[in-house]
Amino acid sequence: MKDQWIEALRQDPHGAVTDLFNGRAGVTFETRLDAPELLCRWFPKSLEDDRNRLDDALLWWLRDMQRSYTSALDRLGFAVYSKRICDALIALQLLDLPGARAAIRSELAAWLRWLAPLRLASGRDPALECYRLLTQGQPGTGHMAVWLRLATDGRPEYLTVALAGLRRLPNDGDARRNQMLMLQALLRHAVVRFHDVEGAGHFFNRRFAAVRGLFPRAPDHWKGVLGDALRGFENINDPLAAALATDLGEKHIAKEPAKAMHRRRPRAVPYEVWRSLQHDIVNAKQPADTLAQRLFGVLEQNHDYASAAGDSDPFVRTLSSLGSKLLVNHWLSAVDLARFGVMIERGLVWEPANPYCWTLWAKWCQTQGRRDAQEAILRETLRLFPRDAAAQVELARLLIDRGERHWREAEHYLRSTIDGDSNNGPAHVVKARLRLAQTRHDDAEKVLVDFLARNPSNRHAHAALKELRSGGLATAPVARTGKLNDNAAGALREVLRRSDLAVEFNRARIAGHVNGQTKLIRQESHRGDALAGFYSQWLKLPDTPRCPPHAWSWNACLHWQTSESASGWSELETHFPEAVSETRFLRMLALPDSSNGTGPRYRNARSDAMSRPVDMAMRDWWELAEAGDLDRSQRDDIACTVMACAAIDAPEFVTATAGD
Amino acid sequence: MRTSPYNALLARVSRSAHAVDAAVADNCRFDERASEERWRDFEAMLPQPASATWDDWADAYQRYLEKRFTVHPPSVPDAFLGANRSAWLDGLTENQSLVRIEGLDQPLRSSTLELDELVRLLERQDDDAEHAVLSFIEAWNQARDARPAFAAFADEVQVELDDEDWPHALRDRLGLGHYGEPGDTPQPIALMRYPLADVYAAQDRQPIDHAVSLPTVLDGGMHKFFFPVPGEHPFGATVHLVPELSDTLTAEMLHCRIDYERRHLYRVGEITRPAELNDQQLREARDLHLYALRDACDRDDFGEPLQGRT
Repeated sequence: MKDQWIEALRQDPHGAVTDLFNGRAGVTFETRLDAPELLCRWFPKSLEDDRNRLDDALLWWLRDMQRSYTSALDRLGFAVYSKRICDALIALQLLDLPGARAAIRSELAAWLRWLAPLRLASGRDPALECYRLLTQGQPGTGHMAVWLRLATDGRPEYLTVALAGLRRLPNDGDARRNQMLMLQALLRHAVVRFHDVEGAGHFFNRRFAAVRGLFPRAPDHWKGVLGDALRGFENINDPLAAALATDLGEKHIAKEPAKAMHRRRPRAVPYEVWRSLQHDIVNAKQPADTLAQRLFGVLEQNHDYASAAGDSDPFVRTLSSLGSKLLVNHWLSAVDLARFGVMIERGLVWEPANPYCWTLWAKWCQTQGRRDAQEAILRETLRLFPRDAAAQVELARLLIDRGERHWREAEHYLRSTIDGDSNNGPAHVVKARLRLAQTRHDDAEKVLVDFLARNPSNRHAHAALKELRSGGLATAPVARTGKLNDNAAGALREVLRRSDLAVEFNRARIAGHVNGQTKLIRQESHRGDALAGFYSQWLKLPDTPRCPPHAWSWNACLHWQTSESASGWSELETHFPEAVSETRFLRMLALPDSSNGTGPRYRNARSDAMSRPVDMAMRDWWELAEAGDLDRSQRDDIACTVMACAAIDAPEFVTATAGD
Repeated sequence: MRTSPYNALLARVSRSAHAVDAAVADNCRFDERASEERWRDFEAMLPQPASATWDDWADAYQRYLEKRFTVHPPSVPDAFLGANRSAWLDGLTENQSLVRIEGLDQPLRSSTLELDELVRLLERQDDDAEHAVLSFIEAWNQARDARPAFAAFADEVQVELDDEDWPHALRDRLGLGHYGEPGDTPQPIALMRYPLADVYAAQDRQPIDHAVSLPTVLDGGMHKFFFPVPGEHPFGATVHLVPELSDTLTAEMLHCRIDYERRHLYRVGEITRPAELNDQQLREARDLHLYALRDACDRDDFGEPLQGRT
């Protein structure tokens, strides 16, 4: 049996693997082992050529299952389809096959997009198996941020994989960093999963002991490691996190501090250095290239600190604050801009849910003259952070420049911004520009005059009015055309795709009817894409396919459109334990009378390193929704925005050092 | 033998020169426990009888297993649902221990431990090591599906449990031929031992109709080392992998998933030798097992010997 199948693999690798999973390989009646264990037994390390063949064939088979999504599901159903995908990913793990793993790692965002909605249970979660696969063979530390972020998922099995990823992180012979990062992961998980210090502390202590069990060291060593982990945890802006850190510090360290180890550890750049650089950037005290070199120096040091301590806050804060000032106020050389792009990418690797990183990325693309990328990034920014007024205004400005076809959408964003903040100066200036583009000069002037009547000190609006009266409003400065960073290419491709989906969706929504231009939404939803599926469901497209088992927004949208009962929402809550707060939020919107104020109150979003975009979106509407005095249309708008936000995570960035 | 439009196919394959195919066809023909409802569900996955091939049967069986047997929690395998009422097992004393062998490839993968690391942790006596083992078991539970567990009674296999080479002794006695696939890689296993009471306790936490049942051919029984038993036999009966001992009938049953606990992990070991029976040995072993079953139940009409068929 074994020899026959291996021979079949040599003759026709794709056919052999397909037959194996279909039960047609003549193996099914010979053994009760699942395919992964069987392959693990049959392909010892000594069969190098055959293992390589199998590696290629499994990757081909996985891609084929993705390509044939609809027909395979028709035949197999989600339970079987999902199991077979898991089995293939498990086989890659058990055999430690590097080729498919490298291919998956390099296109992680696209793989997760396909795999995540296929989860059926903790033990049958293709996306989790994909992550677990990537814990193997990490040649660099590029996935450190991914593992730490995975630990903030409240599901225990995600913590297990996060710990595996951190345990296997290459360490140049110094396992101390792995230990410290594993403790960081436990801390992050504890404050997400538990709601009180006692519970979080009990959990942490239990798992801390398990980590110690894997790395037998003297108590003093662990005090030092825990001390470092707690220091790296200081910037998590959450009361429970602070209380937990204090509690653990008192229990484990304060009573009997560790003996000094004289270890040199990377430190974040001191505040004085930071402040001095800020002053010089703002006041243009030095040439742009000098300022850029100083900033890069600070960023490198803070990035080293982040990589050592698991604390990305100093790096991302410097990047978003000083970086944006440098980018806006100074003309950087092409070389400096390219290096700046790498820094932004690092920021997004660490904190993909940080709106400042997204805004900076859009700005950087604008500076590079990549309007298409800028627009796509702004659209994705607005999906993730729907109340980001700066992004709304910037996107409106871009759409005005793109011509009359896009003005209705621009108007929509400006109205949304001004409805949220009637004193938003940039929104009124851009609105005036829109009126001018529409050859409504008088209306343009009236927009600014009315605004200045309410905000007489707004210099920006004054300047715009003066400019308008002297003949027009300047368009955005013409930018140079530059090359985008290769490392970000995968993520950018995904952002462009999402942006195209959003364009179709927004047009249909704003128009109030499906105008036939939903080709991409239809196509992608039939491939199981969770975002496209949600869009399709929301628009009630007639051929919307069956919802995959673990696409929360798509499922929630079905409930929103059809469920009048509280029990439906409860089921959804049980089925999506990681989305309990958003489910309760929707339930509160859908059935304002059913919650009676007994639902758990929304907790403030934590730091950008730990919070999810949907937390921030809900934070913006929580009180409004809780008050319950919204009309149906307002509730629809909020629900749609929250579901779109939660439909799919921010894309994972893969850095060069993460590759196999 | 039940009446089925696919009997002709089964009859044809049972005369196959390929002993494994003939054995599996026999398992389907001889089974007296699987309900008509379950067979209908299985046969619905097949093409029309006139065009169905043995490959189609294997394809359907694979899908059937993945849909109805190797399910994920909270889904429940058919074995513990009303459709399998005819094979439910009742009236067992809770105060008895079960044993079961688990492959450790996947649990070790889930927790990123190597077997020797786990062994060392189990040998250590300190608290931290104990917590590391608990984490291992937690990760294992997270990654396990809800497939029915084949188990035997500890007191019935005490000799094998006491054997120095218990992994192979138990593997053979329990007919677990899939442990020991030919290859150069040893197969890590765990011996799990737990009271039946834990199974019943687990039942209370799951939406299942029944916690324990008798194995049928539709419960992972379409392979060469499974043998159905007459309807009146009180348990399933494993096929001993040592051909001359295959008239040893050892009771086996299926029970619902339990979450493993530290106290359930009795031993770990490795399977290093395959359980290889050539076609002739397989035929002899199965026939010896069949005669033992006929004697035990006084049912000379049960089954049909493999040897001498044309």
